[in-house]
Amino acid sequence: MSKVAFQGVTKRFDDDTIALRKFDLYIEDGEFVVLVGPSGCGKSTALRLLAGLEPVSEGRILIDEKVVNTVSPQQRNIAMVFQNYALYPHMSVRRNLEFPLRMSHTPRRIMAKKVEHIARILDLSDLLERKPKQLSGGQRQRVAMGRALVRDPSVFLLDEPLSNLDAKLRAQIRADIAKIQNTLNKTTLYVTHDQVEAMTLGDRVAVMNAGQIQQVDTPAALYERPQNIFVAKFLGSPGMNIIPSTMVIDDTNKLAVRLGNQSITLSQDRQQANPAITKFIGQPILVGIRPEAISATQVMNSVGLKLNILSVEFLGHESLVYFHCPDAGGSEPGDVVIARIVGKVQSPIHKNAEFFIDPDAIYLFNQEGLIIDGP
Amino acid sequence: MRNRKLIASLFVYGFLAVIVLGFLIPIGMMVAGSLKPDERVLLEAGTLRGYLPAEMNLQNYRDVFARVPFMRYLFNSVFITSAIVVFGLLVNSLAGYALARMQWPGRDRILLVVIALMIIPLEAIAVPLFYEVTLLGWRNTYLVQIVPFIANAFSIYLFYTFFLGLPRELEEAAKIDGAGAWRIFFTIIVPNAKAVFAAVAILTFLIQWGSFLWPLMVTNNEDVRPLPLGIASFYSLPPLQWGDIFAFGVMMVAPVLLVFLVFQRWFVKGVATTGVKG
Repeated sequence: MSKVAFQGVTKRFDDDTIALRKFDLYIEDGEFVVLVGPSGCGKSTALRLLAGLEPVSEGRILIDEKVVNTVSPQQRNIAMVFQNYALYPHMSVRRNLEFPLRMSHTPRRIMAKKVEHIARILDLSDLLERKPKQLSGGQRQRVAMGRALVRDPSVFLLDEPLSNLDAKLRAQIRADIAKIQNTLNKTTLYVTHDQVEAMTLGDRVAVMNAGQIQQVDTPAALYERPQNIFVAKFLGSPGMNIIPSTMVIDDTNKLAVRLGNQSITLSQDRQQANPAITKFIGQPILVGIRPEAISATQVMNSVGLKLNILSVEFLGHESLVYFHCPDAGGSEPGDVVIARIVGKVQSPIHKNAEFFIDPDAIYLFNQEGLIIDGP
Repeated sequence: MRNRKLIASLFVYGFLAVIVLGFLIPIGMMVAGSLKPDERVLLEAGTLRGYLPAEMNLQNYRDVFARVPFMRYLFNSVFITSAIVVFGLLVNSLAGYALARMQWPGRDRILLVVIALMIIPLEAIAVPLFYEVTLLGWRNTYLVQIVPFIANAFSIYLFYTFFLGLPRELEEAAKIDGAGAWRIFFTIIVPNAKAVFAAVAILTFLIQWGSFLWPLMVTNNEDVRPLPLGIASFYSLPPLQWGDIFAFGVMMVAPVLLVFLVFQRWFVKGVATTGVKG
């Protein structure tokens, strides 16, 4: 039973690159937290610091309320699954699984029992005498998991464990990991760049960028209430559309956002719920619209918008429609807005096609990219 | 076009054949010479007949055992060379590992020194080294022929480059699994570095087996002298009998060939790091 805390952790490498900057993260006992972010954002570094493979430059890391900054990896009672599995090539699967137990001087009889047990859970019983090179990618992955689980670690670390597998196997093992987590309830820190893994596995997800945490929350909350543009764009596939805009008062004396020469009137409720947004009247802001919030047919109180279609990608159950960005200046040339439309979109390329947006599904960000108001 | 290719490859193979002959001729002459009467060895050298051991017999081999303590030389060579190889593997692999993988102050400077030491030949330091071992009172011992050659800059460098290439995750996984530095080295690194151990072993063996100058300087007692000094002793034992010298030569080269045949599988074999990366 273990809690983990990063308190103001900074990691500076010898060449003065900063991988982590004042990093704070708390992991509750038995919680499964996913660190997700683009490559180079410092997520693997955070994991390696927790494992003790790299020294901390500033700040503290605590396991069970004990500072472990100077504790060696051997003494931290953690287990880790590496991206390339790092199985010992010269040892059989059985020896690989036994290795951590041997290191802790586990009696032979208990060791055999534990190995058999973990092999049964991970469906490795028939492979115990094989060498790693005689295994498939998926089997190696399971051995790596087994080696981490066999000695009952207090914290379980996984560094992009699925990235070397093909898509089908990845989905299957993702489900297996979720199942194992549900039965064993280990405190887990899982690093990935894949938002699907993050959203499906994590009790909570920490989105990282440039060595800093952007937001930590449940997968649903991250998707529904992103704190900034980075999180909004990172989650969802495709991510949220961000359109430069201005907040105005329209002809009916209501709050509206301008998109090019058109405008979308915001509902009265939003202004009442969040009066602070009125101070942005007349100022440039950024409008966020999820691709799935744009539809081809009018529903409820959605507002029509004339858009120029660039191209359409038909994916079977849905289509991705690319539009010219309808901004009032400020966007880069070539910026597009993407919509996810259920079914097939007829007449691919033409100007002034009418699409519909629910004004209540619009996010508003300030110029610094921080959220002003959301649904 | 095809003709040109053919001619090019004929040229290449012809060139290689000349080189191979250049190496084989002396060996063939030695083997043939060891099997015929002394007086014919020089007489037939330089003729094609020199390579046909007519009237074959093993008299020269019997002579070698009668005239010099061959078995003593052989034992000395085997003992000295084996000791250098075994201790050398241990010391140099540990040094290479420390340079490649461990963090300690001054590491990069030491590495530079090691690389610089590779270009200094024994001849350059033979005299001061001689003075040193004389002060230590080590002359005429096995020790003096073994200790100075255990640590070897070139071996360290070979180990260093190999360990740099081993996936770091193997060590990190072992660390997290609870293994200490010594155990990681002996149970994870060494079993995955057989190729470089074999390469260093074979190189060290070959160099030390032929070692002549240093033993000549520091020994004057047949009891501790190795094979190369044994063969030299024929020059001071008139009459100069080339048949005996060749027979001695064959017996001196045979173990080298044997070692190479045993180890060449490892020597040639690339590095097997399978098991890492799907």
